[in-house]
Amino acid sequence: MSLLRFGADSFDNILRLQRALNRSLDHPFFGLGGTPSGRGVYPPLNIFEENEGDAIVLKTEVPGLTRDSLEVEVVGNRMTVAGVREIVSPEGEFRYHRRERQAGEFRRAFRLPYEVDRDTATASYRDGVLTVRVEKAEAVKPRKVQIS
Amino acid sequence: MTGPGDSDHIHEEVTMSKDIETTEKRAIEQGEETTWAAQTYEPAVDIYENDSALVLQADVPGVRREDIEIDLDQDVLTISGRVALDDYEGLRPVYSEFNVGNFFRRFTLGETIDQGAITADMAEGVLTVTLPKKEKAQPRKITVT
Repeated sequence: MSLLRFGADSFDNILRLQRALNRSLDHPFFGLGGTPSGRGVYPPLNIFEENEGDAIVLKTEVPGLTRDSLEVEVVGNRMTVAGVREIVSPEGEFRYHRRERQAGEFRRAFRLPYEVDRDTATASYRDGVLTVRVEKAEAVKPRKVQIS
Repeated sequence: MTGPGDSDHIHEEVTMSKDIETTEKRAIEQGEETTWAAQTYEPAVDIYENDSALVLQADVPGVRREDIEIDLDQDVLTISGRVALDDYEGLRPVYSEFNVGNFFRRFTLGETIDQGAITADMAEGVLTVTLPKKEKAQPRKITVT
């Protein structure tokens, strides 16, 4: 699967990302043979590899949380993402016209196909998107071998 | 239980959610509301009304403050958000459960809004738009003496 490289045209860039994500929907990276896939589970996740495949980057859309209510844990090849979303009711008298946004609690733990180095793990929460980056364990990082 | 390296894929171990479920992002039919080639999504919204205003809250994860557009034309409110892509540069998707795209949604308002008094705020991927009603549309309390 190819690396995402963006140009100046933002619609073209969106298309490029959408096509790449569509292609990875059925990638064997996630469990087909009997293992439950995350489909239908909250929150949905996307996982990427970075550049040469040294690190993985997880992204999930979880808008409206506080950083304090988010929990990310990385051990061995196991990763946990958890959080609580609260929607505070408006004060005073009001009536809802539409109510589509959901609040609640979630926890997802899963094992990656390889060990990662937990000391390199970083997480950020920006614009309602949680991003976790962690490098693969040294032993499983791809290595270019110099031919002498 | 399989140990590390025994499988070449993600193995889900724990999934727990309380009061919250995954609903697929609602994709807008191609060509129905926009002519863009890329897939566009409808944000989930809450809309409530009190005596003085209509308040709309929309989930637009991945959209930055400067990339939101709010337009009120007569009684038609349009919200669009352009999702930021720079974070994806240099990444290679290996596993995906959802797609990413711009947001668009349009509402016809039943209230007369004071255009000049509309305010909007963005926090953690949630857009809040406060649309104050025009004075005359507000209920008047008449005291009987």
